[in-house]
Amino acid sequence: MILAALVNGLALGAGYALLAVGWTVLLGAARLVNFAHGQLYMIGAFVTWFVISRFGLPYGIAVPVALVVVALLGVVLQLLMTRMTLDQNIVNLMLVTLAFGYLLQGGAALLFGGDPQTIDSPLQQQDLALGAARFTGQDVLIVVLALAFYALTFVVLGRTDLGRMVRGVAEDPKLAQLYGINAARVYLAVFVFAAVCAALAGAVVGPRSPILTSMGFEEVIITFLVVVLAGVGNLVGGLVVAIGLGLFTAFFGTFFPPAYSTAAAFVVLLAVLVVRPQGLAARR
Amino acid sequence: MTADLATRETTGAPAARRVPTPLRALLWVVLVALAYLLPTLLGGSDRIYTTVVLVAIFAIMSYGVDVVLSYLGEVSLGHTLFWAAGAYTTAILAVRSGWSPIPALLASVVVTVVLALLLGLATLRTREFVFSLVTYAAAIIGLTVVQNTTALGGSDGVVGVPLLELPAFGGTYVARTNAELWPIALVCLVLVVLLVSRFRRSRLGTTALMAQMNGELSTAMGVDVRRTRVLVFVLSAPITALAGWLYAYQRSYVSPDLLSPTFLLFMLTAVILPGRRLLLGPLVGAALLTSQQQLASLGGDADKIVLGGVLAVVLLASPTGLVGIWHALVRRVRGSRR
Amino acid sequence: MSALLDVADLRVRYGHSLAVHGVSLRVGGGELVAVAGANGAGKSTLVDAVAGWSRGRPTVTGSVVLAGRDVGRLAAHRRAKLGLVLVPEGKGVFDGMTVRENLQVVRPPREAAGRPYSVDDVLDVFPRLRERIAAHCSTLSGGERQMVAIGRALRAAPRLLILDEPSVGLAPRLVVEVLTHIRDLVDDGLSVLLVEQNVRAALEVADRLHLLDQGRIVASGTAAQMREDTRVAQAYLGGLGS
Ligand SMILES: Nc1ncnc2c1ncn2[C@@H]1O[C@H](COP(=O)(O)OP(=O)(O)OP(=O)(O)O)[C@@H](O)[C@H]1O
Ligand SMILES: [Mg+2]
Repeated sequence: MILAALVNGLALGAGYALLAVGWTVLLGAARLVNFAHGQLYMIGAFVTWFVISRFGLPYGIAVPVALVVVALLGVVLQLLMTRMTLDQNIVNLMLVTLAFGYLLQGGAALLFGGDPQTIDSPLQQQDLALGAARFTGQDVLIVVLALAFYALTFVVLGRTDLGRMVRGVAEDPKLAQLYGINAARVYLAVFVFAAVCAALAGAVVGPRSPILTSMGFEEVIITFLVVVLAGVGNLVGGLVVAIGLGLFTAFFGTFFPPAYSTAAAFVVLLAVLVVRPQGLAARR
Repeated sequence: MTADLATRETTGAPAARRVPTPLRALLWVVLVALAYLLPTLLGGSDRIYTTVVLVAIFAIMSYGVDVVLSYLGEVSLGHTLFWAAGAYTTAILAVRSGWSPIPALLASVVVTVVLALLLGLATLRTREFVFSLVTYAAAIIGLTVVQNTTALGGSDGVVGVPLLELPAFGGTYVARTNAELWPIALVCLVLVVLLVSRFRRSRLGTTALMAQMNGELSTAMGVDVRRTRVLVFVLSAPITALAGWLYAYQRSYVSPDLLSPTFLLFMLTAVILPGRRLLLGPLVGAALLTSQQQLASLGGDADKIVLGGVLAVVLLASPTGLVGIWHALVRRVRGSRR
Repeated sequence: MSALLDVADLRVRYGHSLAVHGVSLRVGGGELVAVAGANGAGKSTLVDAVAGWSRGRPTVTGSVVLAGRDVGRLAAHRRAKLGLVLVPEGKGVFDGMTVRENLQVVRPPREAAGRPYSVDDVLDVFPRLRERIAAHCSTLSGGERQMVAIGRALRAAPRLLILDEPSVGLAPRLVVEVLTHIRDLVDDGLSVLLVEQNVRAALEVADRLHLLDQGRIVASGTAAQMREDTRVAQAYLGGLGS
């Protein structure tokens, strides 16, 4: 049972990590907050389902389609918010993304209906076992993708010109302009990257359980639990905290009613905020 | 800094400033009397009474958020928690323990103040947006917890809240219908508006405004920004709880939907749509939104799109709300005359 | 003669207060033009507006023409790409990055307008940076940061380099050093618009000087003329030597 919880927690945590990596960059590097993140996750899952069930296309094609759709959605949303973003008006940004999330939820409900759906992924049928613990090919995919995205983000942020530009804009968007950096374009890139990460998380975590258009609110909370607990902008910390949160949820769920696991994690967060307001993994 | 404050003050209440105090008081009395008669003037149908009562309740609910958003400049996304706490405390005490309305209200206030203190103190030392994130999480997690806790009625909620009975001259006043609830709702609304207007002129109110406009400067001037944030937050919670108390009696049941993002979006939009920092702003916003939902509803999901759309469009097109659009129009008209 | 930079009737206001009242000035190719004036005279406001940049929210009117092209409506990053490069007053480097990263993050534009400087070229100009190349800019001294700021500006292959008080906070010996560097760059063909409080030092290196007071140019001339100008002498060169 311990081993089962461990494996399940790892898959859960990897899903959280995938969900959070975009937000880590968004908040840490660009000082943007996106409350529609969970709804982008939901849309990622639903577009995948829609492409499979309506057009009969395989999962492997549905996922890229979903990513493209959400990327375009991300472009539209960020273009609408460009002025606000450049002014770094965090209050209005929070409010407007909250409104976007709500709009997306209403729109998705009209478009996809209110019934729970399941995403048909061949990997979900692939049962694997490691000793007593059973898991699916889908779980492996989630873990692999999460690790790959963290590695990619780490390298891009730390080693490439694009990463330096993102960090420059994050530190001082005005000064970045004098470096010849188009801050609006960097914000757009970061926002779309975060949107695509959320959609990918939705498309690969979605097959594990039935999906609903009303989901997404819990997902935002989990994302932000990861980001704040890790310390804003801390990439490695984010991965560790996400896996830790997955394990916590899995173990909590084996001993207590699973419905309270996020609440329990939240209580932990409150305690952490009192003791270490800058997050667990932050250096200072 | 002080000049800035002064100009904002005057733009906040341009006409009222010039009217002498006794006359202004009279004006308010007339306004309240008119409000009281409004449903009768509109035909006095059941639907009208339901709408005006809901406008009053939702306006009070929104004033809680208004105090934090307009004057402190922080986004609390957790006020649905106080709204639900007020309604649930009332419903549970009234249904299960037979408490009468006034003690139930006091209990609601105590519960929400404790909740607000917990959230406020936990986020005391964090950066500004973490406050919003934590309050949002509290509300969303509150939703799952309430849905899954049988002691709180689970997903069915608590049903059978008795009628609102208040002691009155020589007996009790029982609000059996929305028409009978209207005077009580109106009195609550007037009291809340008076409270908020007092707050705007109070030391705490001006300190909050200063902290919002220039956190660093006001810190240098000896204002404890964090303490101000917690105080204003704790003050705002019972206002929203009062609305929850009324709503429990109006609807005669409470359910987890009180914690849904719908009410959160409603509160925020009611404050932002007319324009922040207006005394009667949340009332106007709540009236507009409630009228749409009660009298011109397009169905649940489409109403969500309307609500989310209104909020998004206002923020993107005119972050200062309808007042901002009005000022821009006036400026244009004056400009073309010149 | 068509100048490299031609600024005409530039007006800048912050809200209701006018900070620059219709300033016109030119910078020719390979010329070093200095702008001097008291605190609050509007020097930074002027040069920021030329670069299309500000930390505040000013409204700007007037024209800015770079090499015959009207750039007055372009965003700061577009002007930077065209070779109009500003090193602002105060914070001019990314503190969270190393010296090398600060220099690397600037890419010379494809149709490089001026002379492109590689990271190594910058290190040749400022050899002191060589040993601090891997240091975070937050750990640098004021003078070293100023060198990084100028260095990253050179990386952008500027045609016109605008420097807003590059010598502020520097030791007198370093002021001379930095200004001499700048003069060397000009002798190599770069054009520079230099804001400098220290009029005496500015006159040492500048070809021409404009004196700004309350948002207006009140005196202009070649360095030689200005040294003779009694107003300049009285206001800036008398007693206060450096
Ligand atoms: N962001 C701003 N908002 C409002 N007013 C400003 C702003 N920046 C500058 N000013 C005002 O514009 C005027 C000119 O300022 P500016 O910074 O251009 O002067 P300066 O000549 O560069 O002074 P210094 O030598 O101190 O750098 C001053 O009166 C200043 O108060
Ligand atoms: Mg200056």
